[in-house]
Amino acid sequence: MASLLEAEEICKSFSGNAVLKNISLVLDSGECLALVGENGAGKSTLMKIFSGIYKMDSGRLKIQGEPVEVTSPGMAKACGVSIIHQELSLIPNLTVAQNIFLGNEIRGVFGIDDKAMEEKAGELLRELGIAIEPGTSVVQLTVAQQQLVEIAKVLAGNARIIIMDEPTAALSFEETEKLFAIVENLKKNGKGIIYISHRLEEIYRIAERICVLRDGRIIDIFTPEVPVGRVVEAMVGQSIQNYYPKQKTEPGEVVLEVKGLGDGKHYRDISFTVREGEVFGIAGLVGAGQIPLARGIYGTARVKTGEIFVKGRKMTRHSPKESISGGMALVTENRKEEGLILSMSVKENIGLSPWAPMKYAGGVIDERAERETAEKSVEEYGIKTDSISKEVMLLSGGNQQKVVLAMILVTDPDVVIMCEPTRGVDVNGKVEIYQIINQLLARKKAVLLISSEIPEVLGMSDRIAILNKGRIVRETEEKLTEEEVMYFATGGHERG
Amino acid sequence: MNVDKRKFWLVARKYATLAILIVFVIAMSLLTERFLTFKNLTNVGRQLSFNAIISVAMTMVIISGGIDLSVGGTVALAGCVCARIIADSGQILPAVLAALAIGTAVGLFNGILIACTNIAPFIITLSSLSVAKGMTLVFTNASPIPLSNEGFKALGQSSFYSVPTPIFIMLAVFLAAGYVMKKTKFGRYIYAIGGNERSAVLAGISVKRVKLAVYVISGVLAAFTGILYTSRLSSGVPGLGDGFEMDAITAAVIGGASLAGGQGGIWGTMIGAMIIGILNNALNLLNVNTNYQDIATGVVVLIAVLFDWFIQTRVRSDS
Repeated sequence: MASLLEAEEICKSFSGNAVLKNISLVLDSGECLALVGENGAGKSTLMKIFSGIYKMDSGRLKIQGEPVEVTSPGMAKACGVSIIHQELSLIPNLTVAQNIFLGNEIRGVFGIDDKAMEEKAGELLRELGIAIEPGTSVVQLTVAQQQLVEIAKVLAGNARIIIMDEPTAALSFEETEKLFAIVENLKKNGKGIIYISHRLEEIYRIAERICVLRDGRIIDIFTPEVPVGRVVEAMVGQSIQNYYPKQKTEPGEVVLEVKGLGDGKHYRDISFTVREGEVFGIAGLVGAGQIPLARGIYGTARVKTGEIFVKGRKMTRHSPKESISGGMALVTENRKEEGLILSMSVKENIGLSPWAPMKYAGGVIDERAERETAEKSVEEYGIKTDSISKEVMLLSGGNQQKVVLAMILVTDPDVVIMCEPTRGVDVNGKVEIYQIINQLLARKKAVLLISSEIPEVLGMSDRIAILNKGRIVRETEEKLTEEEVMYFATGGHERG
Repeated sequence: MNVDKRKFWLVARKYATLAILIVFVIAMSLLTERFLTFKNLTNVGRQLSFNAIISVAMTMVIISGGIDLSVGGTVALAGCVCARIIADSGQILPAVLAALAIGTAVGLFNGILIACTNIAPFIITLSSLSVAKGMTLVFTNASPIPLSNEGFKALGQSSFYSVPTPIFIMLAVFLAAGYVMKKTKFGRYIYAIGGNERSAVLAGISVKRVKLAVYVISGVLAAFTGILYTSRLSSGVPGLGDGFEMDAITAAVIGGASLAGGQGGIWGTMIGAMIIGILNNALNLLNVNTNYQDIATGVVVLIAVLFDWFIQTRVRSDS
């Protein structure tokens, strides 16, 4: 019998950058194939090709031996390929049953027959062992329950190939067990599962084969008999050392002190200090709690317990305004959504902050000061733009990120929190951003570097903390290897 | 798409409405010799000045990412309160101040609710529109308040060098608002909030205060228009202001304001208001049935937004 899914020599590039290079793989029915690799290895691009969101440049796809062309999510569904995204796609105000049958509602004599849908959805949920009433609306469900409904929805659409992208990121231990039971059940029923996760211990439990992707290539395909170390080695590959031009400066006084911080949900009991002229790195897998932590420190998300001090002064109101006037600055992980005003010019963005160094009388913009500040920033941080009046929308990712840095640095902060500062930035842009970090250190600033790119944290930090499921599991000044960090970040210490 | 082409389209958008206005004026002066006369032009100017003043405030609200549907109600309420006080006491200043206070109150009401909750501005201002209209009808008993005060009439009916006063007032409001939007921190923050509210909050801008101020400005300018209109009509008319919100939104949209916020400008809105005013005047001069005016306005709006869409798809095709 032919394999459930066969991919042959799939290639894909974005604006000249090859993201996938000759990917060939096979998925059999009743199998769970794990796909692992670092961020940017090409996992999600590949999955988006399978599910019809992206079109491949070249290559072939066969489903049960039949060549197919998948050019839209609808066509993928018709071929039996369904993806469960990390971000959930349920419609909050509809009921569980309505969501499960969204797009193929059951019709009665008087239009949509909600009752029949609820009955059928109830059957399906019971089969899967999910205890959720099909009549409840999705808003009332926890994230984990929504995840389970999402799986039910996929199965109601008669999917044969199910792609799960980090399905356990939001799940508790018990819920994860439930998910595994469902996966086992699906395997028994002859479905094929592609399972993407950073958590190797999970993969070792449920996957038949582990496919390692790096730089858009399949490096190796292992079976779970292979030791974890070999898988991690394959994921990481050879790291380029001088890629990180970190300069060492002598650390001074403590600038940022966090004591016992917790938000009751994403992270708890977080304590650390960052000193002048020092980069403190926080490494962890996506979803380990580092982003909520940064928001909690800066005051855009609530904290439940703990204290934050900047230069010895306690932050009491937890608002961005207090944080900025206290000397903090935040680079968010998504510059387009929360960082830049894309429709405004480089100059207007850089001068936007009420703390920008401009004296103005009666609220009138000092255009000369604004222009000079922008020109100085453009030069200092190497922002490539043909004019400071150009809309930032028109700049490249790396240059947009430099505008973000300029925007917050004109407020002359003492401590800069950087979340994923090089996300979506090309190689050269990355090095330039690392140079800006060096400049900050030379100016006696403290930097809190939060990134899911472990080599980046290792390469640029003086000290690091490793976060696993919202807790610091290791804090050290030692130079750890990437394998060691991964070991802690994936909860390796728990395995002993 | 390369950067030069994008730039071209952005510039094209900026001047497209001006081009339409010029084509309009040329076409009209060729079609009828009654159009390009001093008398007709000042007449058009006076007619459109009322809508134009409200449109200025509406533009600020729309750029901030909101909408203010309550302006029509504020016009009626402020106009009638003003008329009542003048009719009863003969005093102009207290009447004007009371009317402006009403505008401030409506603006505060809208602004506080919009800044402090996440309820859509559309809904909040829709309800205050209804309340203001209702209050006007209750307190006037739905009948007009005739005025004979000569001093008050001067506001809306007098002229300088044969140019009606409302035109000067409109120009003053335009210049002031244009200055605020382009040259002050406040104006910059309005664009920033409409462009990306999350980013504005994170940059430490007092988003709530800015929003509150925008709605107060809108309320005050609506009340001021109510006073001006009442003076022009020599009468407090309870039904005044009906549909003013839509006319103002129309002018702003033709002028390039995006209902998503962050885009648009006072300059564009001024041209938008002029296009609507001249369009209506033109159809009158050409003896077209007035019922066709709405159709014509609708078509112009549609052309403007389709053109915007066309440009947006070109500018953003890569990003």
